[in-house]
Amino acid sequence: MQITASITKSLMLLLATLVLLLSGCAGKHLRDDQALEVLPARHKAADTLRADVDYNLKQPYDPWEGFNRSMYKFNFYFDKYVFLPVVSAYEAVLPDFVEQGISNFFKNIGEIKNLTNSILQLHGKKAATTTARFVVNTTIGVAGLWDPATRMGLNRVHEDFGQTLGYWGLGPGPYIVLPILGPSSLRDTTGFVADTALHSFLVDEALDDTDNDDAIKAGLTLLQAVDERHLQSFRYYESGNPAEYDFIRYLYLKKRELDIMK
Amino acid sequence: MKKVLPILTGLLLFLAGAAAAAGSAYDYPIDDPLAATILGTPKEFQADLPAKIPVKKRRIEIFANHLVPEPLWYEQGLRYSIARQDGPAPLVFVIAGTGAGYNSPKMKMLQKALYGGGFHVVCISSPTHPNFIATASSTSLPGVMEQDAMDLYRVLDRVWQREKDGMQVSGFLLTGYSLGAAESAFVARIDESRKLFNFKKVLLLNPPVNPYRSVKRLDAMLTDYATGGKDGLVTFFNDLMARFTAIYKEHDFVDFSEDLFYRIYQEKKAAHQAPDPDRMKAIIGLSFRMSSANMILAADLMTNSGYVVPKNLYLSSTDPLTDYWLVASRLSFVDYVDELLYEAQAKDKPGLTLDRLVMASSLKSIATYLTNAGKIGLITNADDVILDAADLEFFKKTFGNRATIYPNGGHCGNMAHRAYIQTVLDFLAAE
Repeated sequence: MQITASITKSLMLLLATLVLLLSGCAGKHLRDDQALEVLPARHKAADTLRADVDYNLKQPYDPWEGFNRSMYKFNFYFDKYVFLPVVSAYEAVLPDFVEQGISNFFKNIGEIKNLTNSILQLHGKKAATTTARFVVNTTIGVAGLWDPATRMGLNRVHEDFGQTLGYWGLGPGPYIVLPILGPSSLRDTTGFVADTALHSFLVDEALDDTDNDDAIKAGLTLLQAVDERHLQSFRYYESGNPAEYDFIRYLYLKKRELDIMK
Repeated sequence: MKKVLPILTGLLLFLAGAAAAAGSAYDYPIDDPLAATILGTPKEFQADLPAKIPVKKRRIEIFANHLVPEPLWYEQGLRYSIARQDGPAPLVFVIAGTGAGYNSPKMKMLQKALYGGGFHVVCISSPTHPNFIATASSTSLPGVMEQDAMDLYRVLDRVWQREKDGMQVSGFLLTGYSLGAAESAFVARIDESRKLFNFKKVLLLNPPVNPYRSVKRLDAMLTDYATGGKDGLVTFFNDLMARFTAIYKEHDFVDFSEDLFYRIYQEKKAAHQAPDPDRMKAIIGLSFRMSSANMILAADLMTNSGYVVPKNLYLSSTDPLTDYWLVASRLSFVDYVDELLYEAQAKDKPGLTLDRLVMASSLKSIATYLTNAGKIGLITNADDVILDAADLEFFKKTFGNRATIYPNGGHCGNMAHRAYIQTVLDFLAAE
């Protein structure tokens, strides 16, 4: 537990440093001079947009928008100075097939989450597919390092506790941008906490008889985080859309809505 | 058994050879130009590209001490990418189409294909991309061809100055698709007098003849369909999302890919339920409209023109831009040219008419140069949705046998096709 705690502690310290850096990064910008008279735009929002039209981009419930937008910016810096350099080193050091094996390994562990949540949503077929996948990949796929199940036509299903809550009728609640992890909602964050609790309980059980289990757990958690970032091609502020935050918010919530429906 | 193996191997090699030979035949399968533009090239018809190539993403400061307003705080330096060969090779600069970045899917595809063909490859965002507008445009108001070409030329120069020590280059080549193709022609012309690169070959992929007219066509595709005024857009988008949701629920697939939609398209066609052409037009128009909204908002923020954002309004790095983006998306590229761009240009050039501004961006304005420049080639499609019959005639007359015109493919839909890519590589590699 100690190592996990010390990693958490240094992570917090890092976060604090980055927040400080962030506020110092304001730097040089145009129009810092606020003394000029503000003139209305040629195409005013008030004239163009209508109160009775439900604009998709404006629909999401985002009461913590100010915090979220700052966190979005923070995540960019975390990516730039911490996450992506680590991921690049990881990609440079390991051959592709090892990276693939690591991804498969964590996805295989994730099948337990998929299975639990498929059952909780009474999805018999998904539960069966997931069980079959887990059995095949754990045995033939050697502890999940390979994914023969997909080649056998057993496609991976993704189910998490956020989706389970949604399935039973819980709405997303307020949109949240989590530190490091990015877009989420109150419901999905709750789900994430529950899934993580289940995950660490199982890892605890699995590593019960091992020495140094804290070190192994901490190592696994870090490796999983790196693996997940490695699989994700998204880069903050590279979409070319000045309103990127709005689009990511809309797309995230829409995607979750579709996932829950499926 | 021992004797069977070599025979079998021989047979397989023969079949592989036959497949490779068939590779240069043009068999792009989608005959509807709208569907082709949306769906692109299905996997089985695509050129074989290297799975992984060594690409470096970079940032470069084009103007010293360049300032950006706070909402665009992250636009520090122009982003581009470079893929370098180990030994000496020619270097190709690739310029993206309207609104596209250096790493858009089409750009990545071209980068892989050209790298696989033995070239060093540098990918540059379109001058209409917000990152370019904020960091590399001399006026931050793109759309004036000569000026955008000058900006591009400056960028190519800076990038080359920065990269030249790390690589062996045996010559320079230039290409681009869509608007980037038209810009390539103007960049090539600038190089005739500046002579920094002496491009050996320049290849235009699906260019417009007159960008302004092509843009008008694209915009009409949306406005003709999404009627009911400005809110037709919302209705249309919601309808599109509902259809997409239905497809998503119905189909068991692992990830979103162009091929998924191609499969659905084939299924529908087999069942004689061809997709509604008006709706397909509106999808193309909408995609274009989103790029143009990004461009308008970035240009307005950079220049403080008071176009969609109130003039002199201070915005912080975390202030919402939602409403401004929505307003920008209710305007068209043509509105932007007629209002913002033309007025800004006319200020410096008294007597400039909108007509003259528009005509100066047309390839027709440099027709003599294009006719005589043997190094400039062209690939396009007879059914490209941004062209009309007169445009095609102009291309045939101007480029003669330097033009390859495929019968189908829509606008850039067939760019990843084996034969198309082979034509690109052959043209650029020819002495």
